Amino acid sequence: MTEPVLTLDGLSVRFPGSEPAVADLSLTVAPGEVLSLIGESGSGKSTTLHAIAGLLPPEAKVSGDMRLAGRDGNLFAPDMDRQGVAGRQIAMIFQNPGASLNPVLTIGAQLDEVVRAHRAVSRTEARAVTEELLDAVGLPRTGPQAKDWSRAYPHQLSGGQKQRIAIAAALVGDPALLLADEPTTALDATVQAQILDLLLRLVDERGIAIIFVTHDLAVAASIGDRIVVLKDGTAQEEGRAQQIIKSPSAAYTARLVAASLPFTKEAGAGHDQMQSASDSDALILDNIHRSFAARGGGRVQAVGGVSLRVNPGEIVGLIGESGSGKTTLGRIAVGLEQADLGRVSIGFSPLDFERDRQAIQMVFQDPLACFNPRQTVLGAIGHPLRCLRGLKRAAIRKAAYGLLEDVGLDPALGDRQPHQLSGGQLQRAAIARALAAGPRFLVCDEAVASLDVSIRAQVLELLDRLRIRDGLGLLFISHDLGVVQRIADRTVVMRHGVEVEAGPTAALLSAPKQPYTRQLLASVPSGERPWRAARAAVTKDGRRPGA
Amino acid sequence: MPEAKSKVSPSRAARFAVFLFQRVVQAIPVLILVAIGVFGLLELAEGDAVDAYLAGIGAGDAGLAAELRDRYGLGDGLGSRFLTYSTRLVQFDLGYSIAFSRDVSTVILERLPNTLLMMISAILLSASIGVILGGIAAMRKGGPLDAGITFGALILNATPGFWLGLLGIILFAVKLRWLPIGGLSTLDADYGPVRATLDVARHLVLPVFTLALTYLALYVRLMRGAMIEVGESGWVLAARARGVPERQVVLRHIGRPALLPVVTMIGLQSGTLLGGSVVIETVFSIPGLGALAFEAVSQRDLQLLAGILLAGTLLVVFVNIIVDLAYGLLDPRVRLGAGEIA
Repeated sequence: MTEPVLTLDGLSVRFPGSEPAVADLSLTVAPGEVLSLIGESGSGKSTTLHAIAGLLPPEAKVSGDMRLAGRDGNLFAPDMDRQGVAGRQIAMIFQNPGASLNPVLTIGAQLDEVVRAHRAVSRTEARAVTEELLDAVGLPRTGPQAKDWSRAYPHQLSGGQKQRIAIAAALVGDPALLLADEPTTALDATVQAQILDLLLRLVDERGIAIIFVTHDLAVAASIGDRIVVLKDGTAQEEGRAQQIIKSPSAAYTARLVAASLPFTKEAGAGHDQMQSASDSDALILDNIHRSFAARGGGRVQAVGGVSLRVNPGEIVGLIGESGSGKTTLGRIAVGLEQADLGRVSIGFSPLDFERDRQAIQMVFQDPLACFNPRQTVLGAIGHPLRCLRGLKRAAIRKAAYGLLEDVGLDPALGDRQPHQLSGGQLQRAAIARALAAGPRFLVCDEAVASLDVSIRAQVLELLDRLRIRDGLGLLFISHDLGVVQRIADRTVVMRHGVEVEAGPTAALLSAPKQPYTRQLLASVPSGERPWRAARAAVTKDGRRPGA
Repeated sequence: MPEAKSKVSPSRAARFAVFLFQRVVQAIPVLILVAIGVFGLLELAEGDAVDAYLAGIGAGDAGLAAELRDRYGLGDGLGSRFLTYSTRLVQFDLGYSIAFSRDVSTVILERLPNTLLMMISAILLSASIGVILGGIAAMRKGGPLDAGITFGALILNATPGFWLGLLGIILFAVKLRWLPIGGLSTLDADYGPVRATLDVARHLVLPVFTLALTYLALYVRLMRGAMIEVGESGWVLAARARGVPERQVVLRHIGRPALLPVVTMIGLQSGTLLGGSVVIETVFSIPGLGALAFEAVSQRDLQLLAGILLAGTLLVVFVNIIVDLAYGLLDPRVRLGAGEIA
């Protein structure tokens, strides 16, 4: 066995005044190996990466032993000189590729700077290295997709392009170890596939080892050779990736595997609909058009003639990549945006949002962002009760407590401020608030995307219960095919503002008719088939998985 | 920088022209409103230039007053005076100053350079020192240096400008005799152009520093807060992870984005360019616009006052166009015509 690139022994990290973020964590990474570090929020996985990279704030107390191949001494020792480690031995890429680039500098300037930090070269030579690196990450200066990338500013690039540039910056110093902190979480499925592919190519071509931090079990299993499962700062389980997801030995891992909803080709979904599907009750979006003023003049069409129907007691999944217009369509459905053309109606009567506001409500992605931080949860839920249902004080309190119980929250939580609740609790409170208006339809815009898998399962269960009990119709907007597959009766695929394909979820996802849908499905890491093996198999005939 | 644009595409130049044109057009209603407002405000004031003149010479009868009012067009009704006022403005004629017996525009243009020179130097000096001190304080956040800088700036902020100016005069002009007591240039001196410039600069040192020090706290706090905020952003962490030297992290990745609020504040402060200097101009006997405005008020020279206010408005509009352009230089996201990449 070759010498590991990194050996971590007994790492503990503690921030003043709180429980240890990481406790006694040991791991090793071999050259050319991909180690997936998986855990839910607060498990200490990002803290571990920051400790390895030496990026923890000074107040954090770090203990343990960290050894790098080709370097003497424990890098966690207090007086240890980390000179030449950052960027040269260890590089790092981050979750939000937009935030990891300085918005006021060109791409070229930012890459040149890193090149000059690690190599003694002139400005012109640095730019040549930069162009070379951009080419290596798939942003070429010449050829069919050529653009002058180095003169672009971050805001002119897409998320995937920015992540490629962050990878290019990480490659400058020829590091032996790349730390990847949820690098694809903020990206669309097809772009995620391309980035994972690029990372694995670097592993194959340059022998770089990667520690890949993610909360997504399917991604972890697809890219990782080995997986370490973290919970509350301690390792629960470690082993070969396939073995972990097929037969987890730790109870926590088993729960994680059970709660994760990977997209699979086979699994049929959908429930028996409560078919009262007469037109008189359904939410009908008819030929909706909406365009926005674009930067520098002109207009961009966000939604270009989409028709959609949600029956009471039915869950309709709306999937598509960012920019496909799915969110705009959802906002039009609840009256947050006005359609330029087309009609929103329930049954045969067009919706007048001044009057019928309570008929359709919305649940947003980030629960913390959609609560007033200075208002108690009960106050937030009481607002629609007062404004839309005209209740008085005592009645509001009673109804609000009832709603909290409905969504499975302890009514005592109602007197707390939003930030005192966990993400899952708050999202349930957000659902309670949406229900307070007494809606017949809910639009859920990525409502479970920011939740940990175990909590996600609870929220999905809640939504399904409301569907059955109250006959609520749901328009479920999501980029997560695994979730849509489990929950939606019918699914609509959107791209560039138009409908690509629609149909019963099981049929659509198991036998897509349109090439775009097929491409979308292919790019989802299932976790069942290791990405690396698949890559090795297909690179022979020149194709890449997910391409 | 190597990526500096060597050629300006015609579309970019065209966009720039469109931007300037739009801003100038936007300024017109502002100027009209200010002109009307100025006229209305001055109408509300008790007494006119003739009252002030008669009070000044100590005597006069109703006949003389009426004759003078007639001569200066002060006896007409409100409507006709507004008509005269607005007709003159459209012709860029600011009127005639009774107190100085000269055209208002001549009087203003004579004083304008003095005030501009002093105020612009003071604001730029204040912003520069503030940016540096605020940056140092942010980097040493919570340390003794941070506390010292913040406290010092606060003390200066709380000190009245005239008092600071008087202290400066006593110390540097009277005791040490390094600098002149007041005025803008040495009288009766026949210097060449170089010595004359240096002479003006020597006279400006005390007033400019006095003004700059009173503004300093604002810029220190602004820069400190912005640096701390930017320091927590993702690209700073990413730059450190890439091994970018700390010096560059601070200057390029923290300092430069943090300049944006400072530039905004310079634009806002330009509004005080004219008014904020009355006290300092008085303390240092500088013949500037602030002192002029004071005289105009005390002499009830309403045409002069209106002219000064309008000149001030023009200046603010002009400075804000410059600030918007500077914003584009600092932040490519608001740059004119920032769109597709090449």
